[in-house]
Amino acid sequence: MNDSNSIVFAVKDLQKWYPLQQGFIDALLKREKQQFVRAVDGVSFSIRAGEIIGIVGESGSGKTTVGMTALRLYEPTGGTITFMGEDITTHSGDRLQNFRRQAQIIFQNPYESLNPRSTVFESVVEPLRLNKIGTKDEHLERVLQALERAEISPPENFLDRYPHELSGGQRQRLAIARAIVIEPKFLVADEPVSMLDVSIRAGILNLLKQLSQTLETAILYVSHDLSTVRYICDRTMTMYAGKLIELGDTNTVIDEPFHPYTQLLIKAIPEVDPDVKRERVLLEGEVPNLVNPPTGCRFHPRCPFVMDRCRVEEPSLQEVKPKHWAACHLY
Amino acid sequence: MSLLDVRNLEVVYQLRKGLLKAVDNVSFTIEKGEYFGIVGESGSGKSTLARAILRLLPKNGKIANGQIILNGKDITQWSDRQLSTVRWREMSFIPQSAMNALDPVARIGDQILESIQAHENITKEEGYRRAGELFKMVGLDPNRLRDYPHQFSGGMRQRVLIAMSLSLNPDLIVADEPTTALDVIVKDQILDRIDRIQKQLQKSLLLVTHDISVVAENCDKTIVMYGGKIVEYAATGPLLRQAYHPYTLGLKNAFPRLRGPIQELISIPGSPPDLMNAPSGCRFHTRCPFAQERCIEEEPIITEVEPGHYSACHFPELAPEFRERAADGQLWKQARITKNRELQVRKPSV
Repeated sequence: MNDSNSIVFAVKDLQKWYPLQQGFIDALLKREKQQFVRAVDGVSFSIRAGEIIGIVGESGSGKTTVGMTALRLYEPTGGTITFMGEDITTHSGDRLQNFRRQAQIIFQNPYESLNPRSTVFESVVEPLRLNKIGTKDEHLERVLQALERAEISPPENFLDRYPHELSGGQRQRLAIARAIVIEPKFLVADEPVSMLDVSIRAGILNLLKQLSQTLETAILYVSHDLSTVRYICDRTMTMYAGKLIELGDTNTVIDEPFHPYTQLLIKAIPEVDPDVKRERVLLEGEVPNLVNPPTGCRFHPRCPFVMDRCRVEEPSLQEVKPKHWAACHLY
Repeated sequence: MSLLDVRNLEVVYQLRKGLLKAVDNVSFTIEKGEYFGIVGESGSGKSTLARAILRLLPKNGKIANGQIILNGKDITQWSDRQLSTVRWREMSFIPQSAMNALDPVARIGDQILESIQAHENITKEEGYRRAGELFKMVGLDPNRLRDYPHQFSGGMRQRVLIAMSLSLNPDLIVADEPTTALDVIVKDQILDRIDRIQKQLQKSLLLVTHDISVVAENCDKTIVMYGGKIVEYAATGPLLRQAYHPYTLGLKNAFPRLRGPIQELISIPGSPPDLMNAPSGCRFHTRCPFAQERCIEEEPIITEVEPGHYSACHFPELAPEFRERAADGQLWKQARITKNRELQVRKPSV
């Protein structure tokens, strides 16, 4: 597992900047400099086969953009994307198609991500057809296998049903079946359980965990919910305002976080056990504007430990303890 | 006399397919100064219950049975005109989405002023002064009263709605998922603010949420709803420590925790019931690992199992055993296998 050969997917200095709209005349006369929303600004990480890595952060932190850019669903502004040792950042046509044949995504809302007019079979077989994988005879077999793996059982009974005949949990399982039918090496799961009821969430989380093991899939799990991240992720990253600010094994990031933001994020999560009293620490302010992000450390305007240095110098990600990185001048 | 007394409440929606009973025979009381939570999954009837109490049901919904008694007045059948004498003054509302609840083209201060002036005859200066005090109470800068909603962030808008709900000093505030649309940190700020105001002003609060941890940390008493019915109702501590109903046990075991040892998450098999074809007997029997013949045939009545602790399960005496066995994930999985077959017999299309 620790062998660098088993690295399935990696990004280096990934950037995604969105150009800000400006008035037509301004653009024509170049009166104003083009401004950008720096949604993702220099993010690097790698994922091994069978590993689940989580990205947490508030809305606007750039976590979803990382997931989308990683799959080349958004075009990166800068940086490199490596898949199975090959730089795919600028691939197009057949070569991009070849990458997409091995990388899949599951979205947050199974009510919107499935075609309501496609039956279960049609939905799941589509990735095989699009990617020209297998023969027609093999298709049925693979669809049944994917449904079985997604724990939609018995799969035969579901083939001709439509999404509206399924419950929320079953729909998300269908979305998972569709994603795993091509046995991807890399899977992005963007808030896959946040729309589901608590009683159903656990099943989906257990399923993802199991799939990463049986299929050796590398999973990038994007979520705002640290408690689900703690449950399924081997490693966890925290993002703040487009920057990766902490990365390490999930238990160390959650039990002994280094970055003040991660610490506050963890303290903000309520506790279900009435016997555990949580100390409430309130973080003032809001996620900064990403057009003109704060100088130095982007968290400095809200940080309780802010120093002069934080206002001018941007901290880089440092290995504070073995395999635990944080971007903070305190360390 | 209780501040709010809900008796045998039944709420139905008229749908094209027929009548849907969203809230079924619900009774409870809220005393002055109590912080009350209602938890449930989607379709449990929790929001419908809140809206029925506020008499804010959509057009196709109506109270079919039962009574809502607020401060000794039975408001169940009151007209809008009659209701306007109690709305805001005796009970108010914090809605879920602050984005939709505010008028985008009116200044925030004017909107608060308007809601006060609808009920009281006060000058603009006096209204703005009071709005300023409310702003301070919810942690907003009174200088921003003249701002428009778009100049506020999501969390700040939610604070505005809390300020508004307090503007006429009501006894009861009903909050329907007030933090669901917000981020973790902002959510924590808002819940902390609500908690402090509740304690400081001794308001009664009814908080509707799907998040059991929010209830665990904030509410004095908790109602657990399932399929339109109350399945368990007690002081929050005992409810979470010593649950009697298998659904409450399942809900707790399905909830991922951030502190303490990592435990296996156990999902409750199946999904919440379709109320157009509600299961017979106990509505949870299709997902319950402890279900027996009796549960399929006979509907359990909510009874007091311990002083102040109510549960609607046929087997309160087996609760200690249930609590132990519910921690076994295998048990819940087996429940699914048998129950699926049963479901298929009853409803071939699902």
